[in-house]
Amino acid sequence: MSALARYFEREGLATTHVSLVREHTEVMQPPRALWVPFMLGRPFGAPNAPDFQRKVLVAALRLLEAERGPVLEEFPEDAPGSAQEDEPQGLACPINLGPRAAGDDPAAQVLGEIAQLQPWHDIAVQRSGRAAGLTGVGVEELARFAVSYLGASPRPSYDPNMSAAEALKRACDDLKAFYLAAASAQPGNSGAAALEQWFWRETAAGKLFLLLRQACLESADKSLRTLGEKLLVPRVIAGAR
Amino acid sequence: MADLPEPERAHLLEMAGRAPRFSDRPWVRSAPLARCRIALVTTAGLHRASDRPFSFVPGTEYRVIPGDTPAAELTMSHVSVNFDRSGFHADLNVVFPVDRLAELAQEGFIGSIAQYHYSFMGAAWPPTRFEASAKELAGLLKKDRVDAILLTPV
Repeated sequence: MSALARYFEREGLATTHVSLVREHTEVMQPPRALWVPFMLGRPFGAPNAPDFQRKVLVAALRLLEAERGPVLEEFPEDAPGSAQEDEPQGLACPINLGPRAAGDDPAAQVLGEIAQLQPWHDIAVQRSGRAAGLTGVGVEELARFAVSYLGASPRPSYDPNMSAAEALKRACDDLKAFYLAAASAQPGNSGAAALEQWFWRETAAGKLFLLLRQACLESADKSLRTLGEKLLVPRVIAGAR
Repeated sequence: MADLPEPERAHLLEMAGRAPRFSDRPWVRSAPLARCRIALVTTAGLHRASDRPFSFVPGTEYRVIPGDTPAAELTMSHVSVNFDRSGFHADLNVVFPVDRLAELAQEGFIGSIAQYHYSFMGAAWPPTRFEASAKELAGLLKKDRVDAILLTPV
């Protein structure tokens, strides 16, 4: 991002830049940057907080009025709702799921969760006006496809134009997006950190992803090994195991 | 960054250590905000749902986002799993503030909004790989009469 800003400016275009990682911005010194103390993935602070988003946007644009640079300014406020996530109760299991499917079959467990979350996902789609997934494939089919990678003979890809690794990656991204969209729609305004904790610690899907990661790491397919190393499970979860 | 869990913090610090150093100080004076035509450039891997998703292997390709694209038509295919997406799913503007920008244009705080915004997936490393794409986009942005660019990460 900082490098892009420099390249645009060299070509004669003024830039201003929102920075989430101050240390990177300090090293690369783009012409104008507003460092914001928000979580990765939320450069304008919080969803559905238009007044706050506007404040951040105006602060970033105002840097265009600077006479000389480089300018690295600090946005002085934390994102709305971020303080409550530091509280212990903010990390308590935020989502109500009914009893697990019997047995330890990952497909049955995940499909059971999907059935329970479906009405909340429907609400989420109605609210945001868009589906969470990218593949256009039904989430149950994606779950069965992903689970098949735990066995010796995975299912053929649902999209012949995608490699096995890409199809598995997109399937997992869509599954997680479905879970988080559904959980976000439930009452209680769970924060992002609580939702992540819930997904990775409490759901059968989270456990499935960890098993898939292991299966990918042991695969003969280099792309699947890369998937297992970097692209299925966040560093903070993989590193904690 | 002090709030980040240790593995993420260590990773980002390690990247800062490997980030390129530049010796020049490019600086272009901006037009007054009330006359500025603004384009957004994001590295969040955003695109219209009808566009091709970003490649599984990080590159420097970009997607074009028409300035009047409704928020509901935009989606994200960034390959990383190390940032929050729940905010984006609830409200695009937390990543790509098109609605806020439109409000500022309507109020006259900024002059106008570009015909096209642009989106990269910012996972390619090192960031110097983006130089050629930036040069190409600069030409297109000038043809769009853009005065200033707001760059937003994810």
